[in-house]
Amino acid sequence: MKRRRMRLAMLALSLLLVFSLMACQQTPTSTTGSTSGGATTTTTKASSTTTTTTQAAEEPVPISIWYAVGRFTIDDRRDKIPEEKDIGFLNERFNIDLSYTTAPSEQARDQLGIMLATNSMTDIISMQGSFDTFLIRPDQMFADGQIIDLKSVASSIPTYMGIVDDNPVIKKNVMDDADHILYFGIPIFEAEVGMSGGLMIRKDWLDKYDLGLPQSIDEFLTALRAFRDNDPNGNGQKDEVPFCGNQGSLQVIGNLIGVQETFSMVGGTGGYVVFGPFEEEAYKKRLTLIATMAQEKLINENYYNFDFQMRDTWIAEDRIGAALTGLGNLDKWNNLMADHPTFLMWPFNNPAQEDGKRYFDRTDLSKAMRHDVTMISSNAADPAKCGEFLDYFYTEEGHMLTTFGIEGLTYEMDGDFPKFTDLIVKNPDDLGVGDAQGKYIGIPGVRTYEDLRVWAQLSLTTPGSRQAAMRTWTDTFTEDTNTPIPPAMMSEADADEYADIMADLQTYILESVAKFTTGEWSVDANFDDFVAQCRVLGAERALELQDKAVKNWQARGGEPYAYTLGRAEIDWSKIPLKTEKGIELMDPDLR
Amino acid sequence: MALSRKPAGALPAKLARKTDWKNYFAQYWFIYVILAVVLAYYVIFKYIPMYGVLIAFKRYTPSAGIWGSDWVGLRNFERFFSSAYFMRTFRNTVLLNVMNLAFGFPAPIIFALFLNELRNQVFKRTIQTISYLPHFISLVVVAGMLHDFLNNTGTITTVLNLLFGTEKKVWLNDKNAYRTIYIVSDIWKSLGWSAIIYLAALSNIDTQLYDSAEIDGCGSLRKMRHVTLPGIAPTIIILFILRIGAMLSLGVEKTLLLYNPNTYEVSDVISSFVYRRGFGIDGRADYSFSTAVDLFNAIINLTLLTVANFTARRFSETSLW
Repeated sequence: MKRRRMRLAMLALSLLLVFSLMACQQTPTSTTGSTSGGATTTTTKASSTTTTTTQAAEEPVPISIWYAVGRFTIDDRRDKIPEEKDIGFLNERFNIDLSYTTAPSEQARDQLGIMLATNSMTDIISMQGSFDTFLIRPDQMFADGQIIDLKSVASSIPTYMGIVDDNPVIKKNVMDDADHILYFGIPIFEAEVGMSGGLMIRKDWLDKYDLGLPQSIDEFLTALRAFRDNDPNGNGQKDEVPFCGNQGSLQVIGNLIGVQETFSMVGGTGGYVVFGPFEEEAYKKRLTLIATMAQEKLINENYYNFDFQMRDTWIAEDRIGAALTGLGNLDKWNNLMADHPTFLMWPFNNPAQEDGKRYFDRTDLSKAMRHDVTMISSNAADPAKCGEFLDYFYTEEGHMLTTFGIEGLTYEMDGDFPKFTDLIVKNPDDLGVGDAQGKYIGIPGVRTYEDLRVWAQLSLTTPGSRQAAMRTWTDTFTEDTNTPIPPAMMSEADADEYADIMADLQTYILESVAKFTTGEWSVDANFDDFVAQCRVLGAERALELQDKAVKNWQARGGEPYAYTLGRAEIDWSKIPLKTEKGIELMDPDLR
Repeated sequence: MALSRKPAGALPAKLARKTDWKNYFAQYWFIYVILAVVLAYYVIFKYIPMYGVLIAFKRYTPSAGIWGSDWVGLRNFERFFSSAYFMRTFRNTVLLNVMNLAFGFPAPIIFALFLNELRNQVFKRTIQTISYLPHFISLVVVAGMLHDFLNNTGTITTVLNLLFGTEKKVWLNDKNAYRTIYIVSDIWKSLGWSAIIYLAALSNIDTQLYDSAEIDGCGSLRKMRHVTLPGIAPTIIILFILRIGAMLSLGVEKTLLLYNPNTYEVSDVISSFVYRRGFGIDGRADYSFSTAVDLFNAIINLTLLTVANFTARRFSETSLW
């Protein structure tokens, strides 16, 4: 009896020991497995995906996709869209077996980090939003051997490679300095599609005080002061917010001067890099403008850490005079306030400077691409198959599937124009158009080019937003006065040095700009000390590094940078306006 | 040990011990199994991952793994120490912690002492429940409330304006008010919850002590001083030592949620600086740098903990070890 007990105990102990040893083992294997870098292929995939038995001659290739899920997962659409119409169809067409790994968007960054740090990537990795949100850039992933060079599967992705080869600018974005093609992105072919936001102001309030749409910074400030002082909403209270925004919006207002807070381009994306504080005259003007906005309370006082949900409330309360935001909001607000007797939010051009130039801050336009990327990981057992699958969505047929959904269910053809059905635009469950689109349309994790026909139906439904996208914001845009830095990359050593400098410099600039803004420092008295301290912290070296990286970017692919976007044509008679308010201000051909 | 090595009689002694041990083990083996589970937990989840700290001395790339990455010596530490803002963030971290210790540590003790004096049980329980409710509110929500209440039109701002005639402003932009806001909100959030452990300690005090103190003619204040406080002193000391051991670790979340460039001078702490440094620039994740800073924090914390424990052992009978 005792002996048996003893044995049991030994067994239990040895089991525990084995388990802990196994746990010890796990970490070393993942590291030894990964030392071989780019050439790694792991065999964990087969066990993690369930293979469905099909009658096909060849076994379907399992493909796993990781993506950050928004409000809806693909399963949420099954009430209206049967599986064989999208995923089932794709599985059959490519003889694959798709499986999805998702992370809620707020956890996406951490989950991706863990996936990469343990080298346990899915076959396809899809990042939503800018690289900065994910803290990791495709070229770093490539340098770490975690994604493949798409050139190695070029023959499987003819459509995408065609787009890349025909558009030098797109090519610059998707490649690194060593000529590798790293990801599938969202190309933009027309300026209207890339023009996602801008300045807007209450036209009805301007009319009250006989003011025109602001053409210069001074006129803009005059209008804001009028809103602040004269109680335009007529409720007897001084509750107007002349310009509503946060710290970021204030910086973008500053960018109208033509120089950004730290680094910006002169002469457009093909030009050269400058460091803001070194451009004394312009930077002083910039600081003065920002300080005026803040100290005269032309922007809401709580602009630091401003919660944008508050903005919709303020719009509904008829308190906001002007804003700087996306097309979607302009459309939403004009729809939301359609019953208000006078409310009309109207777009206006970036105010011109004294030299007559208008400056812009439009990243997507100059790089002809959105941020979102999809990559094939080095874990993919059959990268060519992954490529073939992802390439499909750049063809007309695949583009329609992921952009407009299923014919007869989410869209109908009106002549040659795909019109969304009521499931999307007048959703029976009262989903907004954006949510309905998110729920019923799109193949998660894949990319395709942007299509104006979508946004025309979803976000250009009021005269204000239509005029903004098709005319006001797009017409005045000039690439040679566009100031953002292109998505250039530094070599690893340079990036380290740059980060070391910027950690201090950025902190110093943020803090100093805050002091200039609140009036603790005055532009006249403290500017020289401010610039001197920037030099002490290494601003000159940082500028050098940034300039070098941008020059490399401009030279990528052997061709100099040139702006490529054309203008869109669309048959507006197919798209009804939701409200006619302001139609007399809209160009007649847009009706 | 040396004594038992006598050649004569060594064998029987050893044998005897062996059988003792065998008997003992046969009798209590299950306790060891239970212990093994706990040990395994610590070994697997606490000790084994520690080898990851190596990346503080390396330039870590995920694909090369922890062991495969290149050694860089103390480079990551140098980068941290050579920053123009190192001293400021260090000072802010220590200051916030010291203030938290000075005001936040005694608060729950005082609260528990007063709560203990309450005779009306219903009232006592209500107070206690209300006081620890904030503990369950997520930090993000608390920060949102602070932003809202301390806004230029916020409730607290308005009340302060009515009571003291202070300016109606966004309080979180004021660097003179930042530390107060940080500490007071911390106390508000943790007061009731932290008091629980003291209340538990209070309930362990022998009631006979109170009775005899009363016979000796003590009022409630003197009873508090001579019976209650000595009764919970060990708990206070242990918690104090633990608190000292967390001196340099200041959660990054609250700072990130509350600070802005207007208040960097007093609000920017090591963790928030590292956050901006490691994650905010050029979209590159710098795991090695963050680990180096973490290791630095851990070493300082361990040192402080040891010193505090040593001091406590020196001057009272209570200590962690």
